[in-house]
Amino acid sequence: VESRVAQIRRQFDRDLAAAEGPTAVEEVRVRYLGRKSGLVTALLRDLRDLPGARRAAAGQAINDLKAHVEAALAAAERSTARGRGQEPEPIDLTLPGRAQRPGHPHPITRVRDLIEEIFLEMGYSLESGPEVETDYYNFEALNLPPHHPARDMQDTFYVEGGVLLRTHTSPVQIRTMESRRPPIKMVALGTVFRRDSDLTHSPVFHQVEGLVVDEGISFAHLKGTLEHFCRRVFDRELSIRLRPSYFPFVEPGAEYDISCIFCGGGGCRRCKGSGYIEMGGAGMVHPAVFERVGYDPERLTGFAFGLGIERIAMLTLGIDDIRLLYENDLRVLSQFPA
Amino acid sequence: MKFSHAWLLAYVTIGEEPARVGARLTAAGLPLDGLEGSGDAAVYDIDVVTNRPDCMNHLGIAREYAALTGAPLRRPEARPARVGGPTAKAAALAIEAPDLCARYSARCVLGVRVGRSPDWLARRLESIGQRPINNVVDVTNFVLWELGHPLHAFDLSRLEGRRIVVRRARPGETLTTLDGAARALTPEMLVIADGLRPVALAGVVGGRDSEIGAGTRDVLLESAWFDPVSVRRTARALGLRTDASHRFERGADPEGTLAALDRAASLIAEVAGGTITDPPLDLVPRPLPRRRIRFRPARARALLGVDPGEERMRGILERLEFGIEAAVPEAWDVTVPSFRRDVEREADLIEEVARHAGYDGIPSALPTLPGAEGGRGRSDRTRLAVRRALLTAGLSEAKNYVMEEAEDARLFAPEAGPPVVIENPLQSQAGVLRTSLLPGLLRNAAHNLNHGLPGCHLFEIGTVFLPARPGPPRERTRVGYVFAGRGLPVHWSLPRREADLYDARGAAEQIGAFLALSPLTFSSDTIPFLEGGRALRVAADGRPLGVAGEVARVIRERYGIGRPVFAGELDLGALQEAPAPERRYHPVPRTPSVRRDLALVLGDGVPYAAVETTVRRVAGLPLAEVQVFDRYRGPGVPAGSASLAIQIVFQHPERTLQAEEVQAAVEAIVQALRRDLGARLRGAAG
Repeated sequence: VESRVAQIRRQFDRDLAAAEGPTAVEEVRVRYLGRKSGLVTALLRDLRDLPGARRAAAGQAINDLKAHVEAALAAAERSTARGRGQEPEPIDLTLPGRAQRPGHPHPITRVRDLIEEIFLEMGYSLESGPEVETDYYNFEALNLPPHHPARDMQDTFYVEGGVLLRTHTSPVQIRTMESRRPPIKMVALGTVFRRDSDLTHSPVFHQVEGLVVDEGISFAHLKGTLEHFCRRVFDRELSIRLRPSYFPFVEPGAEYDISCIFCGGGGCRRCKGSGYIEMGGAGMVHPAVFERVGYDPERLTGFAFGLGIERIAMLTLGIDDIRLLYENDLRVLSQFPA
Repeated sequence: MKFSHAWLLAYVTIGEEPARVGARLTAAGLPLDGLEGSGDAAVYDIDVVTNRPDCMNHLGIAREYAALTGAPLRRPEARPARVGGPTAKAAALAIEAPDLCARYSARCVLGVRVGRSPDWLARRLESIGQRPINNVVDVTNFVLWELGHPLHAFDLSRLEGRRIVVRRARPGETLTTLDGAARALTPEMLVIADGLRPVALAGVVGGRDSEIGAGTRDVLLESAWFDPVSVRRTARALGLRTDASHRFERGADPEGTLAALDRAASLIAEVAGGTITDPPLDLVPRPLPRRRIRFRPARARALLGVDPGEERMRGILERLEFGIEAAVPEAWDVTVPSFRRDVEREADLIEEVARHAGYDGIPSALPTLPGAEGGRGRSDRTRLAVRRALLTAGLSEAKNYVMEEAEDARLFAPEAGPPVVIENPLQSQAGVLRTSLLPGLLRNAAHNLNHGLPGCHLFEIGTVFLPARPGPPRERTRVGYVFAGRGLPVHWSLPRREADLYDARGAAEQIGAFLALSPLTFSSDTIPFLEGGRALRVAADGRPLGVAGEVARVIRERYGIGRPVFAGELDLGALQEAPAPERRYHPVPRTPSVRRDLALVLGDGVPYAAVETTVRRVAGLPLAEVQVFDRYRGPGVPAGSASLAIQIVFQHPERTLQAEEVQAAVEAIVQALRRDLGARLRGAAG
């Protein structure tokens, strides 16, 4: 009986596949399930003749076959009915469609992607460096010798073995200059660490570092680059303001601000009435830094700049507590489009 | 740092509103952080940068303002009147550590009456938030905020032998400082001692025993220049930070000691009476000469990208008290004033010019660099592909701190040994560097599930730090992911399901697909943080990539998760190195394929992989595909077994297969499955 079941099943599948149109499908139904001469019906009838021991197993097999046949016929009837333009099944067009919805990238990643894209378009290379750094790369090579008071600005996490968690992405400048010959045009985006935690400071955050070195690079190039970059990041016309400031690895040094993206520069709550929003630090590479990496500061000049990725994410997304960015609450993450 | 408008007016004429003054100073690198009050009562809060100790006082700010506006600068007068005998008769002075004390100037004021300061003096200090103490101490404080030079006043009668010795502390010496704390001193610390013992920490803080008090009659005034690094070390070692140490650390004016001393002595005599010893003591064991720097106007133009004009550059430098000798017009010989310890080389002078000419005047230009190497590296591309793979699969991205508890590392990377310790953590539960991304992701899952979300699907790409003692930790970039609660996709037309092991495995497969790797291999293993029998090692071409599976119940419960969690973690470096087979076009076969489905009943111990292997081994005909398309347990299938539906597609590249040979192959397959794996066709008995 069992081999007969398998044979009928194969035969049915072939017949149904060959049946085109509702009439043909109906013919297949009669051939297999017809009350008098249907092949499956006949099998069930034959069951009566089997001895009790084998009857149960065979009955199971035949019932499986019958279920298969009925399901396949029902599906075939539905599809041929539609194909013929007959009474279609009603469809609710207001129901949402079906697709695997993408997940949501972290806001920091979104900003990071945007910044990478802007600099890649400008022909910069993407560089990286270790997160656990030596004092040399994090401080000394950047013209911050031991006991330099400017080290106070960077609350450092120290790690066993005389190393530290990098406090900025600036060590990547040094590593890149050591391993390349100029001209250099690089950005490094990465995680940095400072021993500080409040509404606007997270002990772990992300920075962008830029460095351009060649003959004839000037402060005007720095200004133009920052201006272009800030306009692209915020996708609008804005003006940039450089103010003298002090970072030991640049001279002249600057902080740069953009005209407030909320009020356009007239003064509002977000810019504390100043019309400007602070962006980051920048300047011309200090000759002592060039000397450290064996570059000739008479021949080469360069500029460097940095900024915080969280800061841009918070500004553009309207987040006022940096810690929200590290809770990974899906109710927050899903607010920002994939 | 606070500055009073009225106080500034003593040294420079200001003909504009305080807000305008603040804007001007900001543009010159002295950023206004806040402005309180208005008119003469205005108080500026200026964030003076670390390298400008010369601006940490009113005269310094007035000097900058005068240089910016062209207004004349009025220096305070300091001509001691009512002078008595020489200082050397009243007190003795010796410098035993000339390496740490380049200069020490002193005068005494004898016969003072210590008391309250007159109103003008008290008000000056109060206007910038300083608390008046007594007339003598207030004068030293006033001079600090006026001229910037830190001074110290000793009660001369309390100095043993009326003697000042500048020396390193001796082992075992202690000093009770003004705040009442007894400090243990070490020989690296520079102290001011009397004939017997330390009476002050040089440049940091005074001692209580020699403090000026109501009974003080004779005062010794110290005005010195201490080594910045020494002051900083001492202050740090003792956890002290004073107005004096703040300035000495950053570099005081070695030529300013006498001016400050004379100013303070005159004022003390004025407000507390007494006679001033004269001449002062002034030991200069190590003169600090003024720096001379070459300045090339052409270099300034090239570095700035703008030409401020030579006259303007000269004017700026001169107003800032730089001396200029232009022996040749293209290279000036510039002498740096002694109070500008920050100006060391030509670039610093160029900044002076730029900052006073105004950064606003610098034009914008974009550099063009032919030949710079550009673009993304391979690791960046791997990172992007992995991220796209998981985002596409519906997972959202998390970012966690790299600091965690040692217990996390013990649970998730016991083989790595004790994790790398942070010596000064912010919190004890964040005292080591993470060795796995999974603890952070489990905390995120707990957070989300506890806030009522039905499902949580998260991944993170980040660094882990594997100990490699005695060297620095080995950094690896990894991707980790978790699935908990409702499975994906979610749609009204699909049955609801809970996340399961195949989500964890599928995420790895998805990553492999996005990186175009050969199919990854998965092998069952014992993994400490994964459930037994639900733990997989993931590999590509035999190289380990990571793990995937169900998180062990005891572990997920420790993170506060009450339902099953499925997770995985792969190494991005290993993924990047995994060989991706070369993709070449294969002609699409013109011959028809033949599909056969088999519904098998398999005992629970038989893995699908064995079925597929057997099919491929015995088919005897070329196979285009072997795929499982259904797995079912329940009514209709005997207990202890499952029904597995597989699809086999036969296709010969060159000829059409005959029905009989396909039938024979299927029968051979069915037979082998029965013989080797005990499988039987569903619906067939025996």
